[in-house]
Amino acid sequence: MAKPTNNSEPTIVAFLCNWCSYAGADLAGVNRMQYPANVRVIRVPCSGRVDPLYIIKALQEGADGVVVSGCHPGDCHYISGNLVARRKFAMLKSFLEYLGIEPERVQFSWVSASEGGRFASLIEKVVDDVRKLRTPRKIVKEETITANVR
Amino acid sequence: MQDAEKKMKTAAKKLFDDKKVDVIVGFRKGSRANSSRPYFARSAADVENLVWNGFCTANLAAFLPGLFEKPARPEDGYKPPRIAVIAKGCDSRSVAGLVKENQVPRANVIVIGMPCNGMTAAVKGAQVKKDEIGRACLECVSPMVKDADISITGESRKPAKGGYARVKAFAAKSSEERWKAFVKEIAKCIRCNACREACPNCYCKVCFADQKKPAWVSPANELSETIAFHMGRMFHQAGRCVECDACVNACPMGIDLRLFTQKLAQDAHDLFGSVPGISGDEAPMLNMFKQDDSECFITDPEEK
Amino acid sequence: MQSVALDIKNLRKFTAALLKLGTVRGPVHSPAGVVLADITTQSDLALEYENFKLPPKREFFPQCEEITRFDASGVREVPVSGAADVIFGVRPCDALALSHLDRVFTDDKYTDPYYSKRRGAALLISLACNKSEAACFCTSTGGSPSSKQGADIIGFNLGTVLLLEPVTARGQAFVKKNKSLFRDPSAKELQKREKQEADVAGQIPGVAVQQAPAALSGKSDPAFWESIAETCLSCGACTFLCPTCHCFDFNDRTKRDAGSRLRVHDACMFASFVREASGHNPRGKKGERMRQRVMHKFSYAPENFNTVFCVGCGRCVTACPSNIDIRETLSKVTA
Repeated sequence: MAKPTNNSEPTIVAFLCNWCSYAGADLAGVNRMQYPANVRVIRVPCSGRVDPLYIIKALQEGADGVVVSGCHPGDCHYISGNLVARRKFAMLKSFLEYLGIEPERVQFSWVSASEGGRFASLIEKVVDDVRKLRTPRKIVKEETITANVR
Repeated sequence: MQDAEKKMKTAAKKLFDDKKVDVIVGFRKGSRANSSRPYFARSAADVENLVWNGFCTANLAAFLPGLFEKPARPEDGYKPPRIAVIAKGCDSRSVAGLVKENQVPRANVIVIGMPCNGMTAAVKGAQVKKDEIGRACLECVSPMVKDADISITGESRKPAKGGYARVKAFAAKSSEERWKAFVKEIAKCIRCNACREACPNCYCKVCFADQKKPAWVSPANELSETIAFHMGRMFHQAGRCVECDACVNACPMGIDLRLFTQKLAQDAHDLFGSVPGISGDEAPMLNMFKQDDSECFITDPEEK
Repeated sequence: MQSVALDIKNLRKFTAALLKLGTVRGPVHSPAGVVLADITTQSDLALEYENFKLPPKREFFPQCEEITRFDASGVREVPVSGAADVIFGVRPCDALALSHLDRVFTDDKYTDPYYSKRRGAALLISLACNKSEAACFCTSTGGSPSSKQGADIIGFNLGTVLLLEPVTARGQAFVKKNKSLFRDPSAKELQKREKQEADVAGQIPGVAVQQAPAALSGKSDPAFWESIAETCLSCGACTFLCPTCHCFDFNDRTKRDAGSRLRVHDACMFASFVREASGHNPRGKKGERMRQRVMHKFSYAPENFNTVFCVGCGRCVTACPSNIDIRETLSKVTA
């Protein structure tokens, strides 16, 4: 199994919607707000664009945590993208938790373009949550295939 | 049950005689002891081969998208075939789902609703004993066929209470235990895709697991890939799974997929009040939304 | 060669002798039934079972195997690993299947190093069947419930005694080396073995296998194959469980800036099996794929190797979710 993550700095993959959360992250930067550098941002057109496979794949490739953020409900640039996403994520989060992936690993939030501070605290919280996990990472690809699988 | 079989044959024969169908998807006697298998009757003469008994386990709706597939170069005036399907409660729910997802033209389907007493599970895993009614049937809340065009009457199972007792018991375990149990179950997988192919909902022309660019998962039975495949495949059933156990019965390794897919059915019901194929939602559950859908899972960083 | 008898009460000593050779895989009880797994202690060995769900080809030709590893510094070969020194309890049909695979993976020109290294490492002790299963038809495919081909030693479980007959020089050497464990079998025991062989073989119904190659050469009618395959789900249960199917594909599996090239079993029943990069699929229909599988086993193999590539183990018959039965297919072909 992979090493418990509390020994090293966690890597967090953030899927941010272009219209709100990405702009919110930008604002945090422009305002010179401090937030952990563990986050790797991937810009997506809308939180509705985030396929559950993205999240599974990120975990598999070694991300310690994934955070998805979009516009607040009602503010979606595409009217309802985040509302459809909300249902999908509710199902996904519950399902992954049921299978045994800790709820802290995969988180969802809303951050608007004017909420630089909220973005910074979101990242702080996610990094903090993931850092606290003492269990090994799950579904991560092993560096090598240890034994030939029969 | 023999009575139901007789009535079914009469109805099937009439459909052919009246020239109302091109194919009837049903069951015929299997080659293994105590078994029935899917069968396409294409003429009145074929009707004799149809059977109805306690071994009609497969979900026949799985064949419909393939039968309705348009030829690559349809001739002028191409019309989709007219297909009758011998349906149990679960099959009819799947048909309703496929219609909703525009995979099957409802006008061209004749649902022959059968009385269902529960079907014998395919004996492949250790968890089901020989010649026993499958778990899907024991826990079935909808043995009655929905929207049948022709109803064959007969003694039928009483709907079970539901309640997802197994899911609740599993959810009560610790996160570590759940993960261990999940991985142990999935580790049996040989990646034969039988679960996917037997599932009526898995009609994608190119499955994410077969895509090469991007390669979401490798076809290797390496654990991490296998887990990712099953997570992906199962989650695609969210709000669509009718809990028919077609995947479980198809699996040659006897993997208890039901324990996991049932969670999706439970959530669909508990979170969004959706029971696939039964509740009359106008669109697939995950294609819709309500303004007041639950937000309890959303991280609020400012909440202390 | 001369058989020897092992009293079952000495089975532990026998297992100990096997363990001395190194890694031993054999029949072990598990929650999923008896499986072929590592034997670690003398008491692990199970003798009462029908057959393993998974074919023993996977011991030599694993479903997923790392061939090379690559990163920015270059490409390295991965040494062959996971070879067992003894494999005990393989059924005669599966041993016969291995002798077929030997001819695919090792011939005059080309040798597959991965398969042949593992195959060469293992002493193969097969165990004749005491009873037949419903789907068995080995007697029609050139095998029998006591066929010796492919094994180094064949065992006969007579209840209180295990008769062991060396088949190859290697098997003979093992028996010789451990002769203190064995005694000469009594005439009664030999008789019992013969009776058992005949009894089990007699239980197995005949299937039109030998007539198939000739009949198949004229079977190119698409409608015929479509009718066989119309309820096929295009899953790989039959191929992955087949003891002779040996098609594989290479897959690169990458993680960040490093990766592995894997050899992975592939199945001709998958719709994607021969799909080309352009999107064109030369075998786009179920019937075409079914035809390929049946032809490969019962027409091309006899042409190339002079034997059908089916050993009658019945796994595909049992596993097929749609119950497409190869025995019926063959009788339709030869009708």
